[in-house]
Amino acid sequence: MAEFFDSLLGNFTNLTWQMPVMWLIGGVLIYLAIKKDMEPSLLLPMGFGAILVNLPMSGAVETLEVLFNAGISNELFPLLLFIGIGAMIDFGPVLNNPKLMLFGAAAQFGIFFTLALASICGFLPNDAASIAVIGAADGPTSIVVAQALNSKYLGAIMVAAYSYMALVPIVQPPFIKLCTTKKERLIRMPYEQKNVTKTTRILFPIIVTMLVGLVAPGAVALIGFLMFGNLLRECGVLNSLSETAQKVLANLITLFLGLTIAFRMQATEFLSPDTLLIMGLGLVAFIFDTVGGVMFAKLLNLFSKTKINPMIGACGISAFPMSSRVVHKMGLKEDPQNFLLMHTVGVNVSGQIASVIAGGLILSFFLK
Amino acid sequence: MKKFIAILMALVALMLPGLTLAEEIVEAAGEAMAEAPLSIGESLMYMLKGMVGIFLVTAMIILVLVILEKATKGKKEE
Repeated sequence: MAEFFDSLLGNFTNLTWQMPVMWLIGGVLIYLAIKKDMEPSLLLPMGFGAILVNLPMSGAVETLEVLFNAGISNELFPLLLFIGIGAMIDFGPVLNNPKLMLFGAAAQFGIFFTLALASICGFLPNDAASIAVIGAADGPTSIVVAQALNSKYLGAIMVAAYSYMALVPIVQPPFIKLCTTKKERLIRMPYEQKNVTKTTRILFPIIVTMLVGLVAPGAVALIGFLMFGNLLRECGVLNSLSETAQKVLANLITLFLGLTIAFRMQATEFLSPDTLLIMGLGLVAFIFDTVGGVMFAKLLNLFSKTKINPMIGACGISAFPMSSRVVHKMGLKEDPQNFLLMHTVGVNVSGQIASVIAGGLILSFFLK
Repeated sequence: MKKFIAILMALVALMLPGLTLAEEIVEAAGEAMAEAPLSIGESLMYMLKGMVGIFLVTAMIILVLVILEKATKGKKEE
């Protein structure tokens, strides 16, 4: 009888205090995904996966390790996801007004600022660089960089990256208001629709891939897969492939990605003071991305006759389309006749390219 | 547009000498730093390199886009 109960309940003795803490974290991620609708496609599998791998003697760990080795350790899953993301993006607003790309560039300031801060906090270069890329507000880029640099904080970096992407409506507005005056927020920006030729739309992904690849070879995989997806969309002759990439491929990879990342959320690896520090640094990266974009717009206003509403600078992060909607709503709140959406979308879309360039530059600097 | 590109190029031209100097300082310090956190000087150098790099690539993309649009619009009008 005693043996029977021992075989049935013996696993309870393998419980450590860290495991229920991870169940709670997993539960919080699931709650945020379902109740608050925060990046549910990723936070829900990550939350559930966190519970799976933190059950004592869990048999799921080996299975997730197989998936991890198949798709994360070789960066395959995030790159395939990028094909789907590229197929979803319409670069029209930025092709309509190319100088909006400058704001995308400026809004990557937070990444490099956080690199410095993470180094001051004592993280080694590869970990500091991986943490800094949370500021790219781009899950696949964060995974690729963290994995390529062999960072031991992949789990924490992923949770931070996706959580903060979902928290853009809460994080950005206060800092945008802090950096701008009421008068600046009221600046109107009329939108002039120009017809972007189909040839431009087709050549754009090809040329961007080649340019970025020549400057930052580490970024070729990231930018190449993103732009390949976009080329599928824009060429006009592969509509079924484009649809497959946007829906089936993106959903399939997202399904595997969230669950597999949980492999690096085992309590022994995840529960450390460093995880809290990484969450804090990730937030700093986001904040300084916002500040960088806004301040750049204000700098341009010193020299430009046609004033730019500096709020649009904050959209230069990769969190599309959330950031563009947040700033557009802020503009409407200040002035119900001020429609900034096409400008914010253009900047937001350019942020996706800029974040990949930033990730590629980080890889070029630190990958041996 | 020309003004923006001119401002960008001016910023890059101002930053490049600083970048070169910072690189020399880092090289002089040797390669042992790979196993230790970056110093403040090195971090600032990477910050400078990163921002210069991103703006350079962005400026090149913008330039190509402007040329592309002018070239393809010209053909369309013909």
